[in-house]
Amino acid sequence: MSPIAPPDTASLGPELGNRLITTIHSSLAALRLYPLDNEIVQHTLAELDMVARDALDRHGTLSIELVGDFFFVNGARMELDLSNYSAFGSVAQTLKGHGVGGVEIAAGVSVDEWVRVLSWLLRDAAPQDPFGALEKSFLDGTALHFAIHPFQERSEVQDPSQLESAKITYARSIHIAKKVLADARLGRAISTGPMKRAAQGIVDEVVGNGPCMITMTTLRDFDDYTFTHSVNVAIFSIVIGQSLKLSRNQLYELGLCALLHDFGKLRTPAEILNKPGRLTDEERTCVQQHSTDGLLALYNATGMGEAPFRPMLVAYEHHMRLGGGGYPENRRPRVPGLYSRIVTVSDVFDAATSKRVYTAGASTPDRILKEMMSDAGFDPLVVRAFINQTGVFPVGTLVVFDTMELGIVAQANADRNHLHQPVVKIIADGMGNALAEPIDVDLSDEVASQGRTIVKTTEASRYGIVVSDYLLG
Amino acid sequence: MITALTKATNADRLYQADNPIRSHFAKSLQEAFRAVWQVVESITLQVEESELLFGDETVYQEENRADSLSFLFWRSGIREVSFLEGFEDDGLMTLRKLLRQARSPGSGDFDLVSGLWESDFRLMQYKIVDLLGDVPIPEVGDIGLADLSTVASVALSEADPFDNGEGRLDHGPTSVNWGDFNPTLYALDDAEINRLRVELKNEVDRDLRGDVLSALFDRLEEDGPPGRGEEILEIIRSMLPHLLSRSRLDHVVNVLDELTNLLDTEGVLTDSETQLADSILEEMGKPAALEELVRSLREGFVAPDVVVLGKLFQRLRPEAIDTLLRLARRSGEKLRPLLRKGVNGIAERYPDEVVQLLHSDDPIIVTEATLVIGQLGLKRALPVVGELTEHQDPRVRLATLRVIVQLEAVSLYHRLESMLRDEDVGVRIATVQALQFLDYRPAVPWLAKSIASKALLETELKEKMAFFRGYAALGGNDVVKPLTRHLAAGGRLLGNQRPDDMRACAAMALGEIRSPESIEALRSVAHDTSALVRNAAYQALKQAERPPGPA
Repeated sequence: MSPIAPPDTASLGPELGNRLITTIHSSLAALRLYPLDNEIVQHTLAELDMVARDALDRHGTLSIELVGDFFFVNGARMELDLSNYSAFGSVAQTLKGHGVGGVEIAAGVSVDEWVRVLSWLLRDAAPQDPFGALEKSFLDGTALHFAIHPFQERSEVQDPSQLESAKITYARSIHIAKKVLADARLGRAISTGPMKRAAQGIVDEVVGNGPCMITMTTLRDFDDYTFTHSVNVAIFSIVIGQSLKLSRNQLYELGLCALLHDFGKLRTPAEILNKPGRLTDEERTCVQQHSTDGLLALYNATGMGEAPFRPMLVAYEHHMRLGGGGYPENRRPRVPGLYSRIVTVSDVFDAATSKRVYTAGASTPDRILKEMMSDAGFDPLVVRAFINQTGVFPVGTLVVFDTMELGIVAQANADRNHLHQPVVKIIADGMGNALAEPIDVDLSDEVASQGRTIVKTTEASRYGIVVSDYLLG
Repeated sequence: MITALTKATNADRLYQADNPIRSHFAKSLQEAFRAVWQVVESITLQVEESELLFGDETVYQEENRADSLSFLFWRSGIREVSFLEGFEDDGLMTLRKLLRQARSPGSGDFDLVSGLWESDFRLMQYKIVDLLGDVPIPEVGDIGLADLSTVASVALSEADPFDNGEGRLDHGPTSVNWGDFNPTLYALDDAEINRLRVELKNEVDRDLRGDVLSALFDRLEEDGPPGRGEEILEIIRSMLPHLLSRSRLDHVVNVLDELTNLLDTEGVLTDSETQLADSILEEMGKPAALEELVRSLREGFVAPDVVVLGKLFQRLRPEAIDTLLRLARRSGEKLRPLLRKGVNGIAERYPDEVVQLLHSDDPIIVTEATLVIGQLGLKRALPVVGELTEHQDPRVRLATLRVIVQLEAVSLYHRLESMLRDEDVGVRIATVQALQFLDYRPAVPWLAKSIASKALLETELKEKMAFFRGYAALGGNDVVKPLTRHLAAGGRLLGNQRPDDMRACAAMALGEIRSPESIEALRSVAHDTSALVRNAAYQALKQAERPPGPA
């Protein structure tokens, strides 16, 4: 659970690091608009030079790292806030565009060198190997005080150690969810402490390792469905929250709400909860009480100072639909809060993709997303924010190509312009022969994809295909 | 540095925030950190159960768990802690707060690791062990070489249940619509991102308690499973003190209104729910609850909106009047009007309860209740008020006087005669003033009698003056002659020489009349031997000759 940080620990004060990034942004913006001899450009460059010199005087070297969505300046993570998110985002985008993950600056750097490097960054990135193309510019020796290294993009093949970390976090979270609910069923005091750690762990994994955690949701252990569902909903909710730029603590609170959203089910008779077939009307009414039961049961949960009002409200509202549908019925005016709407989308998606028994008309993940997009009961912006993260074809979708090959979606495409072209694992060739070693293909890569196009999605479990065996094995 | 940290955390436990000893240790701790950065840029400590190690060296040791800093970290699962340069300015205060929380009594539910995570320290890092121990990692099966030969063809041959024939590719049935490929369908533009940011702010600013209460009342109004209504009401009951302590009196008012409406609406609540709801309303008006509320108002712990506070009081049950009246009496200038206003609000709805309080054994209650009668204009209580003019407590008698004036209770004016002879000087003076205010001329003979009485002769100047002035105000020119007699030198009163102070009072009274006769009488003593009389006459003449002020 330690925060991620590069090893360089000659930390810079947060204010100085903040100024450094924002003055880089100002200089880039000025150079983009005006000629070099323009007063504004000269002023911003002078400020950048001053800030850099100040930092270098204190610490000797300066390193700017981009890890995920975070900047680290000499080892200290820079905080995103209302005064800097735009500047930070812009600099991050510029660096990522060139495939740059880090810049090191040595003492003695001149303004001229800054001008050169910033100008190279302002050029359009090369379509192929942008980092390599940029690195060539540094070879002319005119920016000797600078060194760059590549950005660690989310790997097409998931790093085994990241996958392991995700598995551990996932397993822990389910274990905690089980224990807390089991204790609650036995009438023991409900402590949110363990759930808080679980939520924080999920946030850390999603922020640092999002694709791996999303992949974990493809595990379908139906014996532990209630608990895996809570954890999956937390993962999806945090993923949506990340898309909406929630802060770390906001993600954590959202994750905690999501983990506890079905807490009321502890009062639902187990035989109804676990019934394999269709529920009778009476049983359905009984299950629907879990929203209100969650509101009431969570009130006495300890570990959060006063009562956990926000998780109580999310538990209560997560089956409500915009425009007044869903349950429970409102007699007083109410619009479900944003967190509730996020959990609603996550809950429906996970539940719909977790059908234990295939029934005619069962939907594939992409179809579920499409239905939610056209259903006015769901917040369309939240659904779209979800799709922004999961892609049009979410992880675990079984796809058929125009080549008659079969594939499983392994990862959403990091490029938002290619939401419909995920990274897939080809599991069977065009003749239907299963591949002993599935092939990873980025469908947005013209060369690698060889023009493959998805023409059909279908439900994997129908054919006895266990998606998680392919994605997590 | 560790020693300084230990001392500072101990001081945090023992002293208040503004204590100089605590401030001293806090400053020493910052200096200790800065001294470390002269040598290194970061420091990493290994955490053992009873010691902290820097490299191989033990830099801290404490076996007593209750006092041990290392145990505090260790029991949460923390096994390594690193501080980076600048931490003393960036996060040290928050860390001290967390350590204090972790050590406080009843901190069983507080998780230090969660607290560290939430604090999101940039310049502190830590490593933990999983206290859960070994948790089974999900197993994944082998993919094997399952028979996938027919999957593609079966999938493609199936009719798409949602297919409406639009956007198909040429080569066969498909569920994939080219419309799905448009990324702008899913991408959020700036306006939408801003809208979501506003929604996020709304979520953060959301009135959580209000929304929870609204949910609870929604569910209370419907037929739910057995016991649910009672559970909801118990939650509402337990929320009330928290709402009060957070000055959310608007919510408290809302709760009282909702409960009252529910009780007034037939068929909504079961018998046991009714009992519970009723008991909540009753509890709010009990002395313990009200005393606590007033105490918190007095100490500034609760800082409510005055209008809302008034509304809250007005929604209490009549049993609360007694306590509120008592509290109003004891309260300062700021609170008293609020409490009285609250009482009036209840009294308007329950006037009989106020009348009942007139029979209380407590004279404070009787006094305050009497005043409320006057404020509300409850004329039907006048018979009881009349009897209270003879109450043993002068405060009650004074209050009745005020009510008689306020309500212009003509039927009780006759009682004022005896009040002129009340044993309490304050009551006597107030009675004269009341008569004057009421312009009750039938009282002239009473006053004539009083100013000729032995009692007035022996009383203090203030009372004498009040009676003479009252006599003059009510009698007007008709009493110039008697007053002139009181003024004259050499006059006798009850067989004794008329004292000069009485003569001076007569002079001042004549000045109030302002008639030519009264002025002439005053001039006649312009050269009186008594300086007191001469001065009084002089003042009175000046007053008489001055144009009268506004009525």
